[in-house]
Amino acid sequence: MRNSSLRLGRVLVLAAALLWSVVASGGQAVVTWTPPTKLSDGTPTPASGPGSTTGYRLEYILAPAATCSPWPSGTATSKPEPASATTDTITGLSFGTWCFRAYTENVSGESVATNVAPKTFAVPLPGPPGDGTITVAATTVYDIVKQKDRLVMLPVGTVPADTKCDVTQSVNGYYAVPSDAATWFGSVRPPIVFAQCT
Amino acid sequence: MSATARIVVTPTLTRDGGKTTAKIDDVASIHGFLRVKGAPDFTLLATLPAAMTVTFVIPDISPGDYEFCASETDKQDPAVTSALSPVSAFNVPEPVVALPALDPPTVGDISVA
Repeated sequence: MRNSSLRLGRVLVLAAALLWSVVASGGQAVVTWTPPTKLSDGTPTPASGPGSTTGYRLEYILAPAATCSPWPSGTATSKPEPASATTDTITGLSFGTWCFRAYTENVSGESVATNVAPKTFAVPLPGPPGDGTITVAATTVYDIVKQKDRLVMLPVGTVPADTKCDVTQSVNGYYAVPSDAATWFGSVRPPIVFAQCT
Repeated sequence: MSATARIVVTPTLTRDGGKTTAKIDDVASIHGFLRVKGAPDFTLLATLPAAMTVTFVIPDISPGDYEFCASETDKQDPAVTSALSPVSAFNVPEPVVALPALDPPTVGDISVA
């Protein structure tokens, strides 16, 4: 009996000694950890035999309140890891705050949990309407005529209604459109023309 | 490439189809209108203070055919603007740039083994 208690005390692993981290990107988290060097009684973790590490268990859960302290209630996901592992990539994580912690296991059971590492996957900003493309709202295209105190938009032709506008070039609220799409009113055919776009 | 166009406008100092005369002091401003030849409508280019000769300058005008006309506003009644002048057509030619001949390339050190 005494030997059994002693063995149990020695094989409980010092979870606090297990250093780990979570690096996440786009719905996945890369979890890394450092194997513990001591058992719960302070003796070194043997490399083999009784007391040696038999594996790890990762535990993670989505935090409804966006906080991991205290550990969220509910059913967490457990993932067993082999004793040789020191990292794992958890994929398919939804938007929100996820809480991660780990345990070390040996023949006597499981250590206490590590500290908790949170990782938040923020909902990305929406894309611009039309994926950033705009098309002409009025089919007349203009040349820009400079005057002393203002710019004059001089109609020079038309373009089809579905012509895409160059969002990177705008003047007076008008956007550049491809001049090769223009049907010209006359012989004035500037290399760059502008149109009203939406 | 573009050019600079200068359009000189002289006010017509008469009223009612030439039946009565007017003075330059009666004219408040001159409106210049421009369109590409073939375009349906004129666009207001600029409004300049009245003078015996008024010059509309377009510093960067694209090559091609244009039409210009003008009107004038009565100083005594700014709400009254004359009819449009007869249309004057003009052409902005394609600029011809004669490049000077290229200088010869520079040859670096030459070694022969």
